[in-house]
Amino acid sequence: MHKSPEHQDAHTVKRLAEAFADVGHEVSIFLMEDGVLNVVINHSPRGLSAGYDPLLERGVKIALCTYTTEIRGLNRDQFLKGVEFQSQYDLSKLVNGCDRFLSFI
Amino acid sequence: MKGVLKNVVFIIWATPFNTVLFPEALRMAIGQTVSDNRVSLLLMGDGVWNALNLVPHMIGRPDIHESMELLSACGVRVFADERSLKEREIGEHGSHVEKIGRTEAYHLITDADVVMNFR
Repeated sequence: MHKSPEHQDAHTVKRLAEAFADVGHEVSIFLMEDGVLNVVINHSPRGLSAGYDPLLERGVKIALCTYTTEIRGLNRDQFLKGVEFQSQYDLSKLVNGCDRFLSFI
Repeated sequence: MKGVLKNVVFIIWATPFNTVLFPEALRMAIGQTVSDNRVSLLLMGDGVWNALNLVPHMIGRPDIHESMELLSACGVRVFADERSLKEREIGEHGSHVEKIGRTEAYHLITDADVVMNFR
């Protein structure tokens, strides 16, 4: 998923992940580009967020493209605990290992 | 499907310079070849402008030549929709690009396990 929290796709992905996890599917989300902003820690009372924190508690795996976080000047300690930092190689393994792959670009 | 090598198609609708979508799509495409997936790029609509022999670094945009060479070395085929080329009067394009008709493009998409759409 490439979309930042401003986009409806960010919310759609969150709701889909919740629904899939609720019926027992194993769900992984790979965030790239501005999509990584969905898992930045945001303490602002009016924080722009689709609310990805509960997904991690439900067992949904969330990974980021490390390169796209680095070029945005973001550090690892700025992200939700439990988020993994991965590469395009990891994404290719994810594509290979899944039953269904949905892209939101 | 799980664990089986996938047929992955990247559809590019984005123009070359307005965003970094095209170089990012190339980076993802190269990544997908690492797991031996069969990867194709399909240039559609304004995405066919990427078929030209462009020199993006001249205007400070990410250079795509290394990625294109790597794609070719990894066996990634780059297709351009013939009608989109014609509509934009693009007569000449890079030698790495293969022109295809809408029916072939349709089959490329419907035969894919994974489609990534870059608009």
